[in-house]
Amino acid sequence: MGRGLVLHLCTIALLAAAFFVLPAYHSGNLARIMVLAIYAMGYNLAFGYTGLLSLGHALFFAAGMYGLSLAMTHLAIPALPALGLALVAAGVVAGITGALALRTRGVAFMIVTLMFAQAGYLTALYFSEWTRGEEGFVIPQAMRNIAGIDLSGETGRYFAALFLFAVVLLLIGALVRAPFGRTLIAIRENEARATMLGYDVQRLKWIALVVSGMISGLAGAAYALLFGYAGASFAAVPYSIFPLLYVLLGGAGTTLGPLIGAVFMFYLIDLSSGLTDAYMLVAGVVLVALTLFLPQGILGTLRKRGLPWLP
Amino acid sequence: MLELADIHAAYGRVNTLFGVSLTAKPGEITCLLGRNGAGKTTVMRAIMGLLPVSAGTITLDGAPLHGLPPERIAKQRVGYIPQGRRLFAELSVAENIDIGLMTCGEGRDTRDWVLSIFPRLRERLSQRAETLSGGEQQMLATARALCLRPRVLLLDEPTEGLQPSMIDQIRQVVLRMKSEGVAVVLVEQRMEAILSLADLAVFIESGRTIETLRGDALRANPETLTRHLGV
Repeated sequence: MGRGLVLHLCTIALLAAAFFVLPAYHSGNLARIMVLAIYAMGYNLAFGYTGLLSLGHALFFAAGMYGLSLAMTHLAIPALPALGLALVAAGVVAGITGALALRTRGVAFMIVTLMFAQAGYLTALYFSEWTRGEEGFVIPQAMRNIAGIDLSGETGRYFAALFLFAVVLLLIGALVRAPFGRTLIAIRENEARATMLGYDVQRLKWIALVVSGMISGLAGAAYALLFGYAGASFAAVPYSIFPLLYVLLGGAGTTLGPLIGAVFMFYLIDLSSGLTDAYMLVAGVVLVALTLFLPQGILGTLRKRGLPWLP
Repeated sequence: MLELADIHAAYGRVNTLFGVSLTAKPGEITCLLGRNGAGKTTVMRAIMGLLPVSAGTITLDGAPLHGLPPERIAKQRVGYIPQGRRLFAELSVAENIDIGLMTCGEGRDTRDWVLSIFPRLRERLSQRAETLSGGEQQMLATARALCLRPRVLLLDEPTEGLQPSMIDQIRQVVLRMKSEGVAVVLVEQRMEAILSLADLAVFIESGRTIETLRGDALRANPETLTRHLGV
């Protein structure tokens, strides 16, 4: 068993133990953080491993969120099949977005993905009869269960979040170690050389974006299911920026960077908002400082300075 | 056999090649020669499909290469080692080699063959590519291209900036590829290398082929190099 896998399993075990140690407030936060970390792990596959700087992942997050919540509330579909529908919705949206946006690169790609996300946000507002726009809607508590496990309760929610986090972490860990993941890194490092070696770079980038979008959609669906709410604000620009920040802070192209980044950002805002109303200013200053002094993120820097085996 | 017949190419609207012809036969080294800016790298890029050919033909054993996307040209087992090495810096030496092996479905035999050509890389398999010396990086870039088991090998100034011992190693690799029946196209500036390696010398100037000489004829009249290259 490699050191990377051991680290992943230890992280999962630590998160499981945290539920029994931490006060209810923090375990509630941690459930939310794990879902956001899943979102960031999906984003990391596109940005950190493939070099696709997307500003439109909120579209995929929202596709998963609405895929599940609309199916549950309007069609009375149970949670588990609705989760499957959410994955399909996010995959289809990511597939279409990727087919068009990947015709561009660099800054143009950023702008095109941002525009797609804005179109998604406006679509959610336009169909407010079903989505209830910014106000959003609540998924009935009675529907939020899978196989008899109540996902609206503290314990069920925490361990469902942990289960999904663990599955995605182990999946991403295996994916990036596999030839497919190594090829994505090769594309990120030098797209032209990967092409010269015979790789269909466009197709591989599209696949990476679809998988990334589906993981982001899974996070959106999990958020709606575990916290019982879906709203258009999750499709807005900030939700495209958050995963980028998590990944940059934790370390792009590291498997645990998204979790570290999500914990850091969540508690930075949580703690600073308790101290001052200008908490976004405090958060901004800390983020600028971190970016200046740890440009490769927390785990990226650790990997560079003595822990090269970090996955 | 790789054949370029009167190819024309352009970067956008700017024409850069105005009629380049050359033939690279299996088991021969074809040196592509010319002053800086003559269009040597452009010819290499056109062969690899990185630059659209507006007129003329590029064929490999009679099958057209022009018009194919670069990845399909590479899969025809055309290996290209551009200037500047360009490794996958964050990947290990082994992973760089494996990336090269995967596209054409090559396996352990090819890996062993490549590592027998570059035994020093075998000692550094787990090392990250970015931590290799300049010479080792060139070895790895060459090894990665050889993973395709190339029928044609395009090398663009492979010895640029290397120390003499490394230059000799790269030279040995070029000769080994020749002996194994690969058609080698080499862009080179060093006169002694050209004179010792060339089976065919193709001189280009301002994007045109201006003279083609067999290696023997070139060695008999080395002043041709001085005349065309201005050295």
